[in-house]
Amino acid sequence: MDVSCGPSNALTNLSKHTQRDNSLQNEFALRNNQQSRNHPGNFKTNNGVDHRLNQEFQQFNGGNDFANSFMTQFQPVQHRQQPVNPMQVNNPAWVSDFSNLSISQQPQPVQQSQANNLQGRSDWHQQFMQQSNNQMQIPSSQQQQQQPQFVPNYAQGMGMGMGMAMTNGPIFSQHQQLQQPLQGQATEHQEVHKMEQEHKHFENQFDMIEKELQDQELQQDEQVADQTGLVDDSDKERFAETARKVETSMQNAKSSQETKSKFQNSDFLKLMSSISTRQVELSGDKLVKTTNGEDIRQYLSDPLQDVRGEDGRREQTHGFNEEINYHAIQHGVPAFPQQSVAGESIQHQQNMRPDVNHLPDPLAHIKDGDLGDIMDPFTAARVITGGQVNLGDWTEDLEDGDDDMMFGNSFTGSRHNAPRQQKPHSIMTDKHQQEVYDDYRHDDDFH
Amino acid sequence: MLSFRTRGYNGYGVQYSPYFDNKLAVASAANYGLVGNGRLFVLNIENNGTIRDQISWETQDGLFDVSWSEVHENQLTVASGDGSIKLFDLTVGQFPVMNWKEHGREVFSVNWNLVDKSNFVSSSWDGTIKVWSPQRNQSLLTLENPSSIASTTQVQPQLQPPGTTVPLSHQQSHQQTQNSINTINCIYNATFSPHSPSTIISCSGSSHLQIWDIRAPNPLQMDYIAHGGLEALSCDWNKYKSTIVASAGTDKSIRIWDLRLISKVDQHNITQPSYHVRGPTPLNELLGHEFAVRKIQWSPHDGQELISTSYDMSVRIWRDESHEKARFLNLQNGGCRGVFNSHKEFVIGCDYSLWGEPGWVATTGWDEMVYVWDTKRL
Repeated sequence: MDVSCGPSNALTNLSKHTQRDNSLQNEFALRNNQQSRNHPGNFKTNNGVDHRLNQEFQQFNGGNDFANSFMTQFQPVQHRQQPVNPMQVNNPAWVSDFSNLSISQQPQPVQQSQANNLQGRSDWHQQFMQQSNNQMQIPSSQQQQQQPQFVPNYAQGMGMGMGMAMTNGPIFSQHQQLQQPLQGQATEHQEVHKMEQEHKHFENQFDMIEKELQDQELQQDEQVADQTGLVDDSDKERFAETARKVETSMQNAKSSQETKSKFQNSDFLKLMSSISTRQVELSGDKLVKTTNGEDIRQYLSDPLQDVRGEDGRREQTHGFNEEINYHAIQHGVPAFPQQSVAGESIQHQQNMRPDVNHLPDPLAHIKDGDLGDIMDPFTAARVITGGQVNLGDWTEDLEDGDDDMMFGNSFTGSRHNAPRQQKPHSIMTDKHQQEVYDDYRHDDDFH
Repeated sequence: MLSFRTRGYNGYGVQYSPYFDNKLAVASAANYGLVGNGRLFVLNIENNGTIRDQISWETQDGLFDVSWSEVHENQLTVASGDGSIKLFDLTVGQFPVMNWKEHGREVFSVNWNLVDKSNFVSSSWDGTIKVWSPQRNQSLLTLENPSSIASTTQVQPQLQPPGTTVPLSHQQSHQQTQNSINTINCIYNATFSPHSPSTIISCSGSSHLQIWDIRAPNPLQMDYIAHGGLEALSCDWNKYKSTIVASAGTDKSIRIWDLRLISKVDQHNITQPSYHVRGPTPLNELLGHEFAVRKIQWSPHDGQELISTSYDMSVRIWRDESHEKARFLNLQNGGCRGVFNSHKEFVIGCDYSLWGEPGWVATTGWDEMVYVWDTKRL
């Protein structure tokens, strides 16, 4: 992978050293070699050592894909390559360790011996193993997160920084692999049991804590119940005092005349004044009158009266109920057109309340059937009023009678016997008005 | 003007549905919210001008705020006095479909995220602001003041002899006397910004206005004193200008702020000396209410109009003519545009309608009435 493009970090910068082609620089180096071998400022190494180091570095790199391999070293299976070891024997142990290491992905044929070698050689492996043992007990998903934490320890210890970081991964994963087969199934089994035990332990703890909390809650509930059931007198006194303050501030504050008058009529202010004089006080979750302990909302006007009235009306007009009582009031209580009903639970006490708001029946003294066969209005009037209507007061409108004649040939009897006026009494004194009236009255006559 | 009576329950919050053009939700409580049950009403505005109750639910404790869900057309959340937040569904009667119980004290406001739509925020008297998702049983995030404001002001109440304290506001729970309830930590309102999915503004009983960013590791972005020590009861974002906010408080004023002019929490303000306790200067101050202002809301139709409800039992419409680039320009056109006086008790909740002709609002108050009216015809 060419690292000249893409994000730059320490890894890519390092890999640039391997991947950049610096073949052109070699000719100048060769040319200057003879001249500057003994030059003090020539800090670039001479060719021999250069080549060897370069080779080792290249081998260390394992070719391409430097950064990727570092990133992927945290995946489960990583293997190392058995390196060629051109180094001299008198190097310290850790140097030879490093000469064995590279970060390529080729599988390693001999793992066991190498592990043994590594363990035998240096202490840090053992320490590392111990640490890794401790980490084993934590679920494996956390292991990847744990690894970077080990980097600084060993980097400081060994002073190789970057190299350590890169090689930590494969070693760790390898040892991880080794651990399990080494200790065999016994470890896993034990670990699983340990985890189960720990879970159970946690659950027990949780249960205990839950019980404690429940007990506490019960205690608290009892306390609260005790408190809310009885409102102490001191609370009531404070309530009254606050109501007094509200009352004084509402009444004494400067405000416009309109607002003052509104305050005078305010129900809230009236409630505050009654609380301040202890006529109404708190009791549980309601306000009650102190005199009789009644809830002050007890006499709220029945919100369903409108509904009941309407229902009654509706019941009567639905269908043509033959049992309509003409002596009783036909219409329910008049409802305000804009008011609706609060949806409280309906208590079906009565459907109709005919006793409310009715006028006396003007025809109550007439029994059913008294006016049975009377067709003549004058006679009927005489019966109804008990003889108070005299002929002189009576005005018959003959035109109406003519209409009757047209439609009601079956009318018999008294109709023809009724006294007939030759000329209708003029109702209006003013002739002009009479004329207007007549025109209006006979507007639809045929002629 | 259309009206509805929430009989037996005093209104606290009202909101138009974002999905239906004729639906209103009203959160209410019995006994003015002091004690007793609560009730959530969902009302339909009929074509003939009447308002009908579609469905309502009774709750254990009073309800202080309501917010419709932005993702589900039938769901809405309410803030309850027992510290719980409930989610109701129009198709499920009688019981809530979700109940979240995490706040330790009364929850005063609940507000759905308008941009992200998948979460909502609540604020409570226990001093915390919590962000929730309707699908999760636990809160997503809890915002709290990094340093407790109460600890620095604890000395004061004990120095004043009893009986000489002047009540500053009218709701009995707002008073700061020796033995009474301390609302220093009470957060009255927390609202998501309509411009950003992770910005929240909150106002508290300690007069602080705070801006939070829930993406940041330290969420508190801005923290300043907005009403000179008196309680800040309501705050809202301007729907057209993303850096303009308004706040209202017990000092009877509505203040309009530009957040760019206020220093952030992590900027140590070297120029301002430590004895400057007044805080930043507002862009504009709207005066006119005779008592504390309980709720304000910017108009969704006009970036310069806002509505306010107050303890003086009136609702006012204001026009803000201030311009951040011309701070001393007075066009004589601004100020109070109209006063709505039909409420007979404190007016607590208000909401602009997004539908229909711009200018229609709904207001509710402790007189058990919900009024739907047109602000242009005052």
